[in-house]
Amino acid sequence: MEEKVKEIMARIFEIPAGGIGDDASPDTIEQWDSLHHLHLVLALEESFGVMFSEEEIIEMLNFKLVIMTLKEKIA
Amino acid sequence: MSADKQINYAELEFAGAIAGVAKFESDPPEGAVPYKIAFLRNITLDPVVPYLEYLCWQSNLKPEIYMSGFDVAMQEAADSRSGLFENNPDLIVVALTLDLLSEPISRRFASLSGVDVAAAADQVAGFMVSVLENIRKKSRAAIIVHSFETPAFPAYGILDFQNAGRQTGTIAGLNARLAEDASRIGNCYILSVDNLIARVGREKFADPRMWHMGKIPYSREAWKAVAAEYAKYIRALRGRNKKCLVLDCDNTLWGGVVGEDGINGIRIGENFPGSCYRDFQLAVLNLYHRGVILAVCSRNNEEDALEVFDKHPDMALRREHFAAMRINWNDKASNIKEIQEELNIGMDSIVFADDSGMEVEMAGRMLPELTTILLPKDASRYAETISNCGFFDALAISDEDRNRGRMYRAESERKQLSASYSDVGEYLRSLDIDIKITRADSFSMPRIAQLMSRTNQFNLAGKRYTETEIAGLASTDGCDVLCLQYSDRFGDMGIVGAAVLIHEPGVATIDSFLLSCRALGRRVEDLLLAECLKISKNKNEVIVKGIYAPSKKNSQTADFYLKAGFVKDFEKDGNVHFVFDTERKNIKTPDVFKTVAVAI
Repeated sequence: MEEKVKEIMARIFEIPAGGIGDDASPDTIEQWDSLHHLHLVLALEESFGVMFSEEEIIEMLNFKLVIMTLKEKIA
Repeated sequence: MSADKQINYAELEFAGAIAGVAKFESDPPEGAVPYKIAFLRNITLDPVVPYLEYLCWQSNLKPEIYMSGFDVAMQEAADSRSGLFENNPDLIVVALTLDLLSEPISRRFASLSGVDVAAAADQVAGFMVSVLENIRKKSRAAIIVHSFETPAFPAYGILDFQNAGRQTGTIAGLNARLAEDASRIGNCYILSVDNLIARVGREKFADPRMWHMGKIPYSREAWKAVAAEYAKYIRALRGRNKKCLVLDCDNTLWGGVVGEDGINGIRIGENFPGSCYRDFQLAVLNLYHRGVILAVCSRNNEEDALEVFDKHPDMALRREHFAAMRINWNDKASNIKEIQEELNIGMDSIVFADDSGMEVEMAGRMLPELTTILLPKDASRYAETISNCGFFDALAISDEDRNRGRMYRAESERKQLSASYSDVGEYLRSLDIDIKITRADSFSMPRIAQLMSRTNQFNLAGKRYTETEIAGLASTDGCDVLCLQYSDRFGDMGIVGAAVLIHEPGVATIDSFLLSCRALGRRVEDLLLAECLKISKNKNEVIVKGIYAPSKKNSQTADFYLKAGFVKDFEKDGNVHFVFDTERKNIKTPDVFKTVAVAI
């Protein structure tokens, strides 16, 4: 799952696939602005067949939180 | 042109998995034609882009997309130097939601008095007209305007529907005004968002989370439908809509196998499962009346299938609706090839629909330019499959479209007659052909534009003017837009030929010259050319120039000018330029017509 999320992030933020580390966040990735965040949410929803709540969308603001939220959803 | 593909929603899912600004990994096909699309919007439309790109690539287009600034429609439309016009777009999409255009109408409706409502509606309508007129002043691009959504939960609840002046009625009224503006502005078309919502289902269409967080109004599901709808408009705008639908019989037009079940055993009629097939036939019949040519290609004993068409009481489609039939045991690709030759249209104008995946795949593989539709497993979905495919969607319909089916039948009768004559001239004279050549007027311009967009085989310069451009040419001094009407004892074909002639002192140029493939082989092209030459000669223009722009399809016209007495002048950029000397050369006028009326 981690790898797939990184791959999606790389495409959304238009950076090389290896460029997403476990510490990735809006602070480390310049393109991670509010609009791109929503694009990321939509892409994750489509890829994993899930639907996030508003609260989750606001909170999942770095790579680790994305993975955590996603795991809770799928579990 | 190449085959179009049915929308593969599984592949769209894939595109959507990375919906957003990211590009997905597939690339535009080689040789894809650039197509510039500019969006004027007050919503976040970016998620539609990957879907739209994907669908454009399938139509061999390479979209170049411009997104206007957010909610600056008037500023961009009014400024000729704005990004909207910068790249000279082919298509401008105006996607403005009422939510941001008018809070009173969209969200405070119940607080408004009747006078307030009228004032707010006028304000929105005035704004839209001004945006559209400003665009049209600066650009000839086709315009698609999103209509306004009517609310799922109107301000007055169920009371809203009891009075046309309430919210739903007011927004419907705005949409009606928008449609009027669009038709007045020209080359401007409405995309009904309500209709898309009805198809997808509102619950699935809207994404309130994304609307509030990022002004993204629609869901992923919705963006797919929106992109597919854009693709239909783009296909129609580029004249790439298909002309002919070839249908299988058993388990396509009716349920069961007539050779086994017999005429009384097949399923067609008012009750399930026959009702599914009857609804499919009725959907196809609508296409027929919109000008789509129908043909049959099936593996049956011919007499079995014909008996169904002629005698089964519940058939909506009869033998007379089909311009060509191949009912035999040969392979379908060969039969479709024969149908194509008989109808004299391009393979890329044909759609083949069948319930058998194997037949569809085989035909598609043997005939790469053929577009195929595999009907779904459930016959109850047949009608919507054909109605939603978009291959036949056009943005205008003429009387000729309505009569096309009959004209093609008349054509097959003509062919039978021609077999009994050995001399072509004698045969043509026996047709009692009446020709009228006139200047283009407001009645003929739409048809000329349509002819330009559809004609490939006999289109010498290959130009494709829109109706607006033709009107512009026709009203220009020193420019003649001519059109030719054909009728004979089998029927009236209407306008089948057109020419654009540009006059300069001593010189005339045939800017465009085209003839519908239906009218080929009757010397009509020679007559139209002779008239162009006569007009030029009467204006003391010694030189008449003609241009042949070779394309994949118009090779039969390569020596058209030479045969008429032109000589080759030079070649440039692949185009061949010819000249005719009106002082030295005779103008050859064919004499096979009963009457020729020239009113110029």
